Amino acid sequence: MARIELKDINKSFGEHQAVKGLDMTIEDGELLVLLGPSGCGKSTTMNMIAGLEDASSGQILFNGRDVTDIAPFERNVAMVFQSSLLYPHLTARKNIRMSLKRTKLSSAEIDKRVEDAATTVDVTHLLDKFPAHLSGGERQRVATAKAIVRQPDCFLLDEPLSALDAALRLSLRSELVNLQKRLHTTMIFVTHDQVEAMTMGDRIGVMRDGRLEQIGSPTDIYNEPQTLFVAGFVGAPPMNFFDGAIEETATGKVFANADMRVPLTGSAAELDPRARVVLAIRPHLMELCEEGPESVPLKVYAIEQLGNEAIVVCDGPNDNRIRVVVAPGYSAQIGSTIHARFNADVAHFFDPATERVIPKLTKAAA
Amino acid sequence: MNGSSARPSRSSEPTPHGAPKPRRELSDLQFALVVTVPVLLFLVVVVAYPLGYALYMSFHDIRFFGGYSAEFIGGENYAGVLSDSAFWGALWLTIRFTIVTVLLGLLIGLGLAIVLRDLPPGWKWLRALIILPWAVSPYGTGIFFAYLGRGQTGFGTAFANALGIDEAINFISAQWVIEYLAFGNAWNMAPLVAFFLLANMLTIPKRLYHLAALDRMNRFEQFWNVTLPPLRFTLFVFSCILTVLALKTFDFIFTQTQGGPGNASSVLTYLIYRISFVNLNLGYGAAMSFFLLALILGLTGALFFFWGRKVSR
Repeated sequence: MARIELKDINKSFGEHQAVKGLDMTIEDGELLVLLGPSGCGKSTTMNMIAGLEDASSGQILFNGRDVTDIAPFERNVAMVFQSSLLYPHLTARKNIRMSLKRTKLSSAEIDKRVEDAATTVDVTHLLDKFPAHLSGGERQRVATAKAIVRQPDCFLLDEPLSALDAALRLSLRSELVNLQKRLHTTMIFVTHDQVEAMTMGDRIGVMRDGRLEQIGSPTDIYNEPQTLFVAGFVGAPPMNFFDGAIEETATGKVFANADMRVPLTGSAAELDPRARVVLAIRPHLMELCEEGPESVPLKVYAIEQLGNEAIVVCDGPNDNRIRVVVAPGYSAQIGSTIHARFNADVAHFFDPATERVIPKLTKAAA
Repeated sequence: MNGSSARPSRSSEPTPHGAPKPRRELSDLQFALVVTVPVLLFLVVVVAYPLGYALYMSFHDIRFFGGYSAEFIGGENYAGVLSDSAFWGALWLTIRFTIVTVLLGLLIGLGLAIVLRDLPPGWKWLRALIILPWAVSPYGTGIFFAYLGRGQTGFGTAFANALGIDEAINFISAQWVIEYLAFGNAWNMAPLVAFFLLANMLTIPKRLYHLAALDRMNRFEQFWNVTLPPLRFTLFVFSCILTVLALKTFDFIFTQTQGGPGNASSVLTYLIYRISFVNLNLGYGAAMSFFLLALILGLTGALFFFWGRKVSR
């Protein structure tokens, strides 16, 4: 069991700074997902937690103990790699045993722990096969057994599902969560797949360009994105963005641009006027309507039928894609113009200069 | 190979005069025959015929003096080889030369490959340079190593002098000449081995080394469990190649030591050369060459039986 703290971690490869001033705490028994596009520094962060790479500066604490300069195996972590890496020349059993080879356990104890681990992830019948003769999912299970047999303080999983097909990914996702909750072991899971992050994580840390953009529960990340990047990266279908300004009028404040004037109601009414603002609204929170001053004109680009709902993908006013979730079976001519509206109360507002959210409750807090 | 290589040529494109004549395409078998028959004929001429003629000679007593004559003597040449102490001596030298060549060739190749893999970023061009020894002909290598090994000009004496020892160290001596020749031969071949091993090594995922680090492997275990397994097939293939090349080495020894000093480096190929083309005892030499052929087939067969079957699955 381990509570892991990262304190002002930096990592550079020559000129390139892969991780910049990272501060993060992973609570004991928590499943934290590090989410971000490739090259955002999430794998490097995991490597530093495992001890496979040294941090250029900063501190890593396990249960308050400084492990920054300690070798990987002394940290008692177990790792599962992308494409479920195993030693190709060893059978599944020997691969799992290899995790315990350097421990002081007796051979009988090792055998017992290997059996137990294999039973936990249901691979007992595969133990004498070579990795090349296992399917992707079986290899993933064996790699998991190899990780849990060590009874580590922390599991580190580096995109372990990304090489698998969609159906298998779906079932293994819940298996891994179930396993983590059963063993109650701290787990850090790296992925670029936001659905994986939302469904698995107790908390999600979203990373970009070596920085932590936002960390919080999946609900927080989804409902209260703190930056434009998080807003655009998390959620499917992705968030819609409109450029405009907040103007003060005789009838109250409005969000205005060349195509629409949306009155700011509810919490949004407390925003201060500003010349440039980005409004973000989830596709589910938009609805089709008749042409009017509050509506935005959209040109239908494609319609995706999902069975329980349909997504109209449109070209928006600034050549950006706007998606609107509508009732299933909706149809419209591709290229035709439709109109949609939304309630500004449930929209998010971002400052295009800092790319950070403009808090709606500034006045209330002040 | 399918029939597409026998696609109709440009001349069969539609012409103003009418539809093109349908062209018959070659079947796969016909195409295979067209491609291989000339090669097979060539091989019959340059391999099968000499081999058959050598077999014929090995059962005859061939004389040049007093007019050419070939007298059938059955297996007498073969029996003679088996009771010839020169043959057994040369056989032992050949095996010693081969074993040392293969071991050194693989070891130097492996060492070079590891060095080339771990080159710092600005030094990768060395990978291209290191192939050069392989580009030197065995003839050149022979002359080169002859000078390096001799007491008067060699590096042994130079090192001894540098250490303050006033003694000429000669590697081309009855005691060490075989090992020294094998070393030169391995030097010639090792870069090629290194290149194939390097290509293998570069396909090993970096993450596997991370896995080894988490499993607390030391450097040797890491080498044994991560680096070596993917190289096993290449090592087997090069064991076979080096074995065959070492067993049939002639030019390298001919230019360097001429079988000497004494008979100390008179390996089978050199002995056969002397018997057949110096003493002109063609029948006897031919018989002995079939023992060499058997040795080559036997050793590579044994390599495959005991090692190759395991790594090529």
